[in-house]
Amino acid sequence: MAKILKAERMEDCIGCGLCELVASRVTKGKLSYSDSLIQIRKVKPGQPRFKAVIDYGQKTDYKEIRDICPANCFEIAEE
Amino acid sequence: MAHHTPTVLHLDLANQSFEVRTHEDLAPWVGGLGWALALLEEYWEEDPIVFAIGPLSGIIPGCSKTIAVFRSPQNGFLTAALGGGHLARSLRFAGYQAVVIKGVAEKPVVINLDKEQALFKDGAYLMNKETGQVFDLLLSSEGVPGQRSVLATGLAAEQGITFSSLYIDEFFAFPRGGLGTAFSQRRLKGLVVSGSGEEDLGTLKQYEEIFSLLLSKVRGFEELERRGTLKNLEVERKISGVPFENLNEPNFEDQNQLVESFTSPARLSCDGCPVGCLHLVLHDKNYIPYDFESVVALGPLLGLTSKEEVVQLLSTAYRVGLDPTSLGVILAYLTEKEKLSFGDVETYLTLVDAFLDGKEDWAKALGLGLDEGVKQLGGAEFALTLGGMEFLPYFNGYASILSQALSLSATTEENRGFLLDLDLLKGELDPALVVTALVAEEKKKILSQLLIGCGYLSLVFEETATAFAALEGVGAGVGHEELEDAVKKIFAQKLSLQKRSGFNPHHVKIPARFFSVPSPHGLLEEGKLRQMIKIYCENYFDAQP
Repeated sequence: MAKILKAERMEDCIGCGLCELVASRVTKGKLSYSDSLIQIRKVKPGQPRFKAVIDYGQKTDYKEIRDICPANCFEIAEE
Repeated sequence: MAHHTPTVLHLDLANQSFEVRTHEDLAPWVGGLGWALALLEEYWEEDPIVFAIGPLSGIIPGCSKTIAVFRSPQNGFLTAALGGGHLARSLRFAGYQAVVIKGVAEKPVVINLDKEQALFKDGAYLMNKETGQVFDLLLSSEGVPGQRSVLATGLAAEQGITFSSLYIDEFFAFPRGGLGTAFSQRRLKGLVVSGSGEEDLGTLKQYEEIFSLLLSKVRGFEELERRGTLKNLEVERKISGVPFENLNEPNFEDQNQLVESFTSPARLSCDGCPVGCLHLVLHDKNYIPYDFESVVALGPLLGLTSKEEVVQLLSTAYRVGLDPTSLGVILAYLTEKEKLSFGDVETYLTLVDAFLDGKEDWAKALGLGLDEGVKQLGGAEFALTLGGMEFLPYFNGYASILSQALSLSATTEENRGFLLDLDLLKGELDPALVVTALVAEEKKKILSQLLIGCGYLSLVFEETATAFAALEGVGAGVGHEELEDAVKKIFAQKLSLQKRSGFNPHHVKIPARFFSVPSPHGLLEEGKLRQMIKIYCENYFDAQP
């Protein structure tokens, strides 16, 4: 089974966006938040809660993305 | 050397037009405060608001702040404010290193900008609403979700109350100095920045090295992560520096309990920062941001020591858009002047309502700020102001007071006297040495504000070697001497613009109460503080044109 990046603990996310920035650098050699395989979005206004939208149409199991998260939100696991 | 040339967005509110210019002349000013002050000076006669980021903004951990410079609606003086949230990265990836806002709109507007354009829209639908409602509306209709930063003012700014905040991305703010009011005076209700661009640095290996180095340094702020800026209340507890009941007492007994009661909060980070020092508390199903200054100003300073009561006032200030620190100092003044009871939260809530109504003379007067209010209402002996603004609610000693009296800091994030006072507890206190040490710290702060790093991470970004390496790492390197020269010139320029804005430290008022209540340094002497101001003026301020 292929391994993928999974957002397992988004309740701990503090919205720093470091995962977005690192993902674009690791996968495309560029700096960008918008052109990143992972997008962090607020669940709804007024709430300090976030969700991660991950583009599974490409390889995602980068340990650099998992490890950059200060709140340890991610795991790399089998699909 | 590889200077960074900023791209500046010029917004004209009167004509509802915009222009994008590359400012090669600004390259030697490195970034952040350097660019912002140069632009403010260039367009001084048009009384602009200038926002600026720096070469590291949005791509280096902890370089998450945007600096705003403007003339404060409270006193007309040059004011600098730092704001976090998504703004720095959104500006960077929209392609702008600075924004200059000029003119006054005919009616309330919202500006929605990205790398292509700035759209001026009717802002009437956002008027007369609470802060949370304004953000709900803006987030549902403007900008690109996930790539935007949203700035908005609240009700208090619309009412012309001069100590109104400008909020960023709901929970962050440009605190103090009334940037919300400055927006409102120009009929600018909101500003939405969508940053969807990308960058190819061309020096990726160097960048990765400096990114890793700074990430490891920034990750060392565990206490800031755990407690937020409220960690400072623990510091103050140890030195008995918490002002209780408008500084009639220098401390109170159960402050440790107050700190403990704010544990396990929700946390938020500015973009690119792993710390998450913005802490929020849930109140009536709404999340309310808090920090050290707002908790002390709306707590112990008013004789309130229970979390529930403090949060009620924090929530009210946020809901209506008032700066909580200034509000607390003004309510403390009113309590003493009108012989009200400290610790009566219901009275304070009623007073805030009356403020918003603005019908009574006292509310109109104090809506202009405490210094202006006292001119009309009297009671100067109860008014704790410094440098034309309500004081920061701690009583550490000479250096933190001096920094405010000289208008060098409006927040604890910027007040380099805060920590200096703690260092000075160890030794003999010589006025000349205090001034020299404070100015040295100010120059280090400027270095961080060029980059532009968070003031709470000052240990990282105020180091010349780190700054030099970081600028090299993003391809915006400047020589050591150039960097140090830029810092000196920008410090001088800041004082020069202070002077031009009418600020004069020779005439600064110092509340008599500061000399009658014991500080961690014992009783402070007015003569000594005046001597420090004199030394500062002779050696630094008076030399500026």
